[in-house]
Amino acid sequence: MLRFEQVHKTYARQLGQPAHVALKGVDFEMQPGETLGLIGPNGAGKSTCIRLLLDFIRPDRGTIRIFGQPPQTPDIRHRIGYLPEIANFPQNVSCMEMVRFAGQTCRMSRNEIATAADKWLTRLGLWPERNRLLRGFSKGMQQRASFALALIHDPELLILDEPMSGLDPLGRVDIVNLIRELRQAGKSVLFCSHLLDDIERIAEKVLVLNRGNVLFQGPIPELRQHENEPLETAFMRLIRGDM
Amino acid sequence: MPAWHRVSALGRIIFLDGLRRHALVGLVLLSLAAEVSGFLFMDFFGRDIGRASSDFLFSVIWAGGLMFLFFHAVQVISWDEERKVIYTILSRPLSRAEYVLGVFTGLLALLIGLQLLLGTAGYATLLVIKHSLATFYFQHLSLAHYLLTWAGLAVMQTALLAVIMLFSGMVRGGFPVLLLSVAYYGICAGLPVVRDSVDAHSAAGYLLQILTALFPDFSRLDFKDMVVSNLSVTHGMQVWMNFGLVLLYIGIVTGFASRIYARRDLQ
Repeated sequence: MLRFEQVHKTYARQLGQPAHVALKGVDFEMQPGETLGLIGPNGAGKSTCIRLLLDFIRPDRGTIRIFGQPPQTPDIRHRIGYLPEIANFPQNVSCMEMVRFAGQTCRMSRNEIATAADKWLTRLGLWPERNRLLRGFSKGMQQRASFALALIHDPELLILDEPMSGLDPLGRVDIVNLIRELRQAGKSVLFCSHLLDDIERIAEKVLVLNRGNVLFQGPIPELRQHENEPLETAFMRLIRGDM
Repeated sequence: MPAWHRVSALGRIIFLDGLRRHALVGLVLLSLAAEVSGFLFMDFFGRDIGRASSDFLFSVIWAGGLMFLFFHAVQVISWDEERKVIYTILSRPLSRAEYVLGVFTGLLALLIGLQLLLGTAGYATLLVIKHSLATFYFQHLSLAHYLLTWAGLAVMQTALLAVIMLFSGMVRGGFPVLLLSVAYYGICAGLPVVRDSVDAHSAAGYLLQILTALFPDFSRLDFKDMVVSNLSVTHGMQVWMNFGLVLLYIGIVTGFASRIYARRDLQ
């Protein structure tokens, strides 16, 4: 479903900032129906991987394939739902107008958009607010609206960049439950988070990145030295070993 | 090839977002107020009131469009990038070319909407001025020429908008795009004057003629002298050719803008 082969990425030098090597020959793959958690310290290359997958940036070397196609193919994004780390929208449009835009770009009919909007906006608690301008939404509401956009076209693969950011504890529980439901419905989920608790609750497999290198990829139990070792301890051991 | 349902979906969002921006509402109100002040303006002229009023009103329409282009349009793509709205938009099945065309379409709809509003109000103002004066002061008012002048002005500003899209893909940030766009406009306005002062058969003359392909002579689409006179268009074919050339120019520039933006890293 998704494959990185020897992917290198360096951000070019900019005014006042030196060039930054973000990925150094990253290899990993993800199978359909999997839930893969991307973890690593700040600057590890997690967001770079996600940006490469969505063709926001291009690799210097290496190959990326999603559904067997390069990320530059817009049509593969019919099958992808993306939740950015910080939900950002044009400020002067309503939630419903944005959902309609998302549906129209996927060639959904009016009826399909209306049905899907009803389902997801209700599920995410935004139905009564659907005609309000997004600039009036709180951070948590914007995050949920962003989730609705990611799900409106019933994608096969969900790419979630810090899905819990900006949510209160109740909202977090709700989103964790939603991701579990989606997983049970057969969706593949790739997500990155700093919160190891969330990774443990949601993911089956993890990919640990540090300074642009893959340190580990596999099921969470394989990362632990013994059954009761907390994920945080296993993660710290791996990162310190790479220093 | 771009898919027009995706281009129009984005264009609609850009249009709605702009329509509700307070600064643009203020610009429309300011421009309408300036047009209405044409009633006061005519009192400063003892004769040729029609010509002076028409020039004044078209200047207001032109200035309103320029303010829209230089204070709103130059910033739209850089706002999307700075606020990371672009990630939300481009995570949809939208190519970079469709993104540029969508933004262009939305801004064009806003620009034409603004020009239609100001153009209608301007014509109404001219009609009121004409009917409030003796025929001696304001003899002739041609709707056909008014529409031709309005269309010329709208096409010129559409070309400027296409160039703004091109610059938005070439450099980052709204301010550099503004500087480049103002410089471009200055060159377009100044080039015909320089060309007229240089021998057309000299090397410099040829160079300036070639440069006209890059920096079009917009004065060829300026027909405001005809609005209140009984002059008629003598070279009809030439007029349509000038319109056609500028439309071709807009198509080429927009195509380049799409191609350049497709190569950009959106960090």
